[in-house]
Amino acid sequence: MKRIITLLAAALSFAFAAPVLAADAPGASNTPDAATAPGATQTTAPGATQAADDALADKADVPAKPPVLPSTASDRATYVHDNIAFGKKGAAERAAHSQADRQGATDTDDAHAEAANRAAHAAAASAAAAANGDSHAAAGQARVRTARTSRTAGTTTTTTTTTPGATATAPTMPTGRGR
Amino acid sequence: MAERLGAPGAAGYAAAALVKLDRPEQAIEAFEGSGATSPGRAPLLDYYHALACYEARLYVRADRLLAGVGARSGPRIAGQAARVRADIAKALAAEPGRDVVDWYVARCDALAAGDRPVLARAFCEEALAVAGRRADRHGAAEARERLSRLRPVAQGGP
Repeated sequence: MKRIITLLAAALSFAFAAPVLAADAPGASNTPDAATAPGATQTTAPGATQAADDALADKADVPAKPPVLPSTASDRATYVHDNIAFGKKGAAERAAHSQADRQGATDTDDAHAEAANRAAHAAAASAAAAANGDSHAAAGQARVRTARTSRTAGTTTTTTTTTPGATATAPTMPTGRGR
Repeated sequence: MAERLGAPGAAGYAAAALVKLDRPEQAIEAFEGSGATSPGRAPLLDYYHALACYEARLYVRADRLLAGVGARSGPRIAGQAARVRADIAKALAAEPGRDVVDWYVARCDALAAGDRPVLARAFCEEALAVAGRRADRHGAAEARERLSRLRPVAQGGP
């Protein structure tokens, strides 16, 4: 197609330029009739016209579609086909569906992100609680150890204090039975 | 532009290029507008003119143009013209429906309202020709009335 147009354009421009150049040439008549008279083109640039005709003849083909008489009913059907069923409206509906799908996907992603966020918060809170519990437990164990130590120490002390008269007995290590 | 530069047949070649660009209505305007060469001078351009009419669904007009092409062109173009004419004859064999005539009249009205008198005239003439193929001549009076209102084209038209 481009080749045809280019060839036609070249041939036509040559055809148009030839009479103008002839009119502008020294010795040529300056009256407009010299360039615009019927037959001027044919006599000055027959080769260009012939080339354009050859290009047109070469590309002349028969119509691809068989003839179909138009009717208002067929026009309505064509309009419906082009603009409603599969055309603009159909495209609009498809675009709306696509948009809805995308929105749905976005919403789903948002919901997933929110759920993940909540889960992360819950996990963090749980971890913090666990850590708190651990620290509480550690503190409790520490208190138990302290109490155990102090109780043991207290037993020894008690032994020594409650039996002032038994100073001759050697001090013994605290045992479980001493509780 | 080409016409002003002194190439009287330039409009026909430009119109043929429009046919190849699949713009048949614009091509018809170029073939039949003011200053265009009258049909019958260049058989090859007449063939392209007929193709433009065919693509615009102006089949009676296309057939009339192709009838003049055959004898004056080369064997290849003449053969193609005969094939297209045979296809058109098949399509026009039966009596056209009232819808068909109404479509051409409506198209004529739309083009006249859109300030495209050359095309409007072509469609009204087609409506008249198609109406003439009906026994009851449905739409012929409307087409004739519209044609009388459209201003005549200076040159061109089959």
